[in-house]
Amino acid sequence: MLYDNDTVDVLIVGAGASGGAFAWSLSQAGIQVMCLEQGDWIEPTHYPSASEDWELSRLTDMSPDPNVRGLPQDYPVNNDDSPIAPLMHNAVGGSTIHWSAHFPRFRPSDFRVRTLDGVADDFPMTYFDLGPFFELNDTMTGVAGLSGDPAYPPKSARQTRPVPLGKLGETIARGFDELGWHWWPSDSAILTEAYDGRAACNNCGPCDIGCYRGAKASTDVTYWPKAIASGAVLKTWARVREITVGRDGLADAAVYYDRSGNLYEQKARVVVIACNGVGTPRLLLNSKSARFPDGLANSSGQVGKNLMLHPYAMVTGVFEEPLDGHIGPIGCAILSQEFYETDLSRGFVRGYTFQIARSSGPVNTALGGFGGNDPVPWGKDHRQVLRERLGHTMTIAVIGEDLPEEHNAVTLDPDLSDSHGIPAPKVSYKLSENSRRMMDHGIARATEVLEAAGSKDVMANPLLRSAGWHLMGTARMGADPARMVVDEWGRSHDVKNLYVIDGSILVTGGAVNPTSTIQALALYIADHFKRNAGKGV
Amino acid sequence: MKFFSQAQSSLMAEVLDQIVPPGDGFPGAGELGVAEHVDAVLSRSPRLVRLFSDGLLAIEQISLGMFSQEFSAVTNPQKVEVLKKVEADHGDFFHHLARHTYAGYYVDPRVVRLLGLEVRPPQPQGYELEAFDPRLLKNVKKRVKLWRDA
Repeated sequence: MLYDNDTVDVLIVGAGASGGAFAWSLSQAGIQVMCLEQGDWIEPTHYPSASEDWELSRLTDMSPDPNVRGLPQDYPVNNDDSPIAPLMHNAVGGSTIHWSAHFPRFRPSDFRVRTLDGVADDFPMTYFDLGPFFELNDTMTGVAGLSGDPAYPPKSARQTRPVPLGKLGETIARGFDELGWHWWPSDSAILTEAYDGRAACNNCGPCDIGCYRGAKASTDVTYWPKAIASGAVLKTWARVREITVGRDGLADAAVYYDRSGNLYEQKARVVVIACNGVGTPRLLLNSKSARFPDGLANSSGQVGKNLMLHPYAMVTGVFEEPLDGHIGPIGCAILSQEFYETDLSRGFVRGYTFQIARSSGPVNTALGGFGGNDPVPWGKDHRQVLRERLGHTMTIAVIGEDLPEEHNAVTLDPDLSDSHGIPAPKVSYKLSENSRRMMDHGIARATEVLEAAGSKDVMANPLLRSAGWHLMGTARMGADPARMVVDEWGRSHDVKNLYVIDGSILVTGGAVNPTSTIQALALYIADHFKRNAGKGV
Repeated sequence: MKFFSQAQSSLMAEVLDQIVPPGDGFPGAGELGVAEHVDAVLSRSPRLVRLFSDGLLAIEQISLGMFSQEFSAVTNPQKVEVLKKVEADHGDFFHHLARHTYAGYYVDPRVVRLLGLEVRPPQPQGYELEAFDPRLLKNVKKRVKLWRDA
C-alpha cells in the first residue's frame, strides 16, 4: 500500500450533487478539503449529443444503468430482487451528469409525515429551517422557473425565466386547466439565460446524455470549479475500498485504488461519505473492523435499510397533431401537484407529482419512448405505428412517495464485485400496497388529463423498471441512535468524525426529485460543521 | 462482420426484413444492412454473442419443424409464423433482436431523411422555442394555497 503522508482535514468520498456542494461550502471557509471520486471529469463537448448516432449512446456508454454501461469506473449492482433498477453515473458531477435536472424542493409536509400522517418519521428540521440553504443552492445552481407557485411557500425570484413549454407543454397545460388542476412551469436546474459565466440552454433535447453547453447544472460545472478555485483538491479515478478506524474508534483514513490498481491510504481528520443511497451503504458495509464487525456506523443495524426509490408509472398519450417533443429539455416542462398531499379517501397515504416529459428521436420512439414497455410492434404494422407516434407523444411520469420499509435494502452481494474486487451492492425492493394504489390512482388521473388535452390513445406502464434515479433512506438522520444512522447534523451516532451527506440520510422521500433537497441539506450540514469547526469533534 | 458467419449474416438479413419490412419507399432493415450494426453491438457483450448464436439456430430449427424448410426458403407469411414462435419461445433473444434492429435502423441517416427529419445531431445548433408566456398561468394563479402547514 502506498501512503499519502499528509493528513487532510476533511476527506469527502464522492464528487456528485452533495459532495460538490459540501466541498464548496467548506473550501469557502478556508477548510482543507480533499475529495476522492471513482470516475473522471467529462468535457461537456465530448457528450454524444453532437454525434450523428447520439440516440445509440442511451443504450451504451450514456445509459443511466451502470450494469449496461459497464465502464471501468462503474460498479455493478445486483438488481434481480427489485422491480426498479437503481441508476447512477460515476464521474465528477455524479448522477447530475445524466439527470434531467428537474429541481423541485420537498414541500413543508414532507418534513413532518409522522406528525401529519402518522407514518414513518419526521425530519429533524423543517422546510423553513432549510429555507436559506435552498435559496443558496438555487443561487449556486441557476434555476429556471417562476416564483408564485401556489403549491409552495414563497420562493425568491428564480435565476432565469422558465424552460419554454413548446407545443407539447402548452397542450398539456390546457388539459390541466380544463380539469381545474394545478400545474406550474417546473423549477429546473437548466439555464434559460446566460448566468454566472455559463451559457443558456439551446433546447437541443436530450439532457440525459450530458449537457454539451454546460447549461444544465451538473456539479462539475457549478460547485466544483469554485471549490477547486478555493483550494479544494479533487482526485479522480480514486475508488475507495473502505474507511478505516483508529484505536480511538474514530475514522482515520480511506483506502482507495487508483486507475492502475495501486492501493493508497489517505489519512483524514474528518471523513464525509457522499456516494448516493446505494454507494454509501455499500462503502459503510464494506468497512468492517474488529470494532465494527457489521460495517461502519452500523450499531443500529440500519445501514442499507429503508431504501426508497420513488416508484414511477409512465402514462404516454398519442396525439393527432405533432407536438415537436424532441425540442426542449427532455424532462422539464411543467409539473402538477394536484394530488401531492394526503387524502385518505383516495385509498392511500401521502401522494404523488405529475411530471411532463417530452419525447425524443426515432430510436427512442421505436423502443417505446419513456414509457418503455410498449415498443412499436415489429412486422407489417411497424411503420404505421411508428409514424403515429414519432413526434406525436408526450409522457406523464407519476412519481410517487414510497415510505421507508426495512425489507427494502442494500446489502453486499456475496458473489458480485467491481473490477478491483470490492464487493458490489445487491438491492432488494418490494413495491408496497400503498404505493401500488397510489400508482393506480395516478395512472387513472394522468389518463384523464391526457384525454382532456386531446390524446386519442393512452398507454400506461404501471411501474417503470429503469426508474431508480432517486436513491434514498439507507443511512437516515435523526436523534435516536437506535433507529437512525446519523444525527440531526449528518454525523454518525457511532463514529464522531464521520458524516453522511447524500440521499442516504433522507428520512422520507417526498414525491419530487430529491436533488434540490439533498444539496440544501448538504449545505445545512456544512454550515453547522463550519460553525463548530475547531470546537472538537 | 466480426461475429456473424456468412450463413448467419444472410439469415439475419432475411429476419431483419421481417422485423422492419420494406414499404412506403423505406428499405427493410435487412436490405439496409442493419445486421452490421447488430454485429457491432455483439462486440460489447459475450452474453449477447451466445444469445444470438443460439437464437439464430432456433430460428432455423423452428422453421424446419414448422415447414420442413430453411427460413430463407419459406414464404413471407410463413416467416412471420416462425418469428412469432421464436418471440414466444425465446423471448430474451427476440427482445434484443428487435431492440438492436430498431436502434440500427432508426439511427441510419437514410432512414432519418425518409422520415422527413433533419439529418443532424441535436448539438451544436439546438432548436428555437418561444419563451414561456406567463399569461398561460391565469387560471392556476387563482388557486389558493395548495401546501399544508407543517
